Amino acid sequence: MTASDTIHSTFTIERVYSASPERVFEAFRDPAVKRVWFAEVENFEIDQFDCELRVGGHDVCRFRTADGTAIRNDTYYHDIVDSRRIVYEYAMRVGDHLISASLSTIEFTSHESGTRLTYTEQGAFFDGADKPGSREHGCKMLLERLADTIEGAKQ
Amino acid sequence: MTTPQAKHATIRVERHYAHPVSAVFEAWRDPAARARWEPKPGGIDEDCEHVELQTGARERGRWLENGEELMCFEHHFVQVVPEQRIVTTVRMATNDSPLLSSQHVIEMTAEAGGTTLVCTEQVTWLNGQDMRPQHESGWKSLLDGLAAELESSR
Repeated sequence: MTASDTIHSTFTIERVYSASPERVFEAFRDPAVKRVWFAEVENFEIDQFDCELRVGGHDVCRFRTADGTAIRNDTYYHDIVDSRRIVYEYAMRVGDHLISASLSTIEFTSHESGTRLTYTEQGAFFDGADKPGSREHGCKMLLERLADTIEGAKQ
Repeated sequence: MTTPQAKHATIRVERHYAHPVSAVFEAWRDPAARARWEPKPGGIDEDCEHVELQTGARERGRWLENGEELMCFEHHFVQVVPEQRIVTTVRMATNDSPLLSSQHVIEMTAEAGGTTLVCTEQVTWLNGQDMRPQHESGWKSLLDGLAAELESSR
């Protein structure tokens, strides 16, 4: 392992939702709602989903892929401003192997009658086990699933 | 209350030390050594119990000026791989108001004649300010402090 195997990368995703910042924020705070869009992804078996949105809170999400690979997400919250901002660190492990460590900022601002969500991730990807491009793609997918959850629930 | 927009930056510094990677890592691992060489701003007292570096450990402390708290911080050692890599996150707040969150990746590579150290900081400032110059000078002080420590323990 050398330092050159580590990739540092920053990406930002913006997404507008037709719901208030309070409602969008609630989808991150309410564990039952977050589980639907964040964890209940097709072809993944959930082994653990703990979600506690408070400063100092520790979320654990453990799941398995179809071929049985164990993946774990440990999230620790750094800063929370209700309906405005969430800052957290998260580490992804495959088995016991740390594949990435990231700092993420989610900002919620009013946009027309809805919300503009800005997601910025500053990640370090280790040993070539994951790529910033696929992480960005994965995050975009989650934010689309969030739209289905929030906007689907309004009808 | 307004929430300032977060600002993000990446800062990378690199330095070569004419010391074996085992000595460089030990200067980080040993809490007493780190308490000696980690820089503090001038005129500031630090109240921090340094812990031994290991995966999952946390360290909390405060900077004081004339007994008044200027800043409090918390370090989380996300991963420590001896003589290879240290991943740390940092939270800093002042008067209960968040100042920044940051992630530091310190990588050590043994080379002929010594060790190359690469430090990459990914920082999010939460107070609306861009404090890159302060961070860059902080890293310079840190690398200088480490050099002095390595020379004195040679």
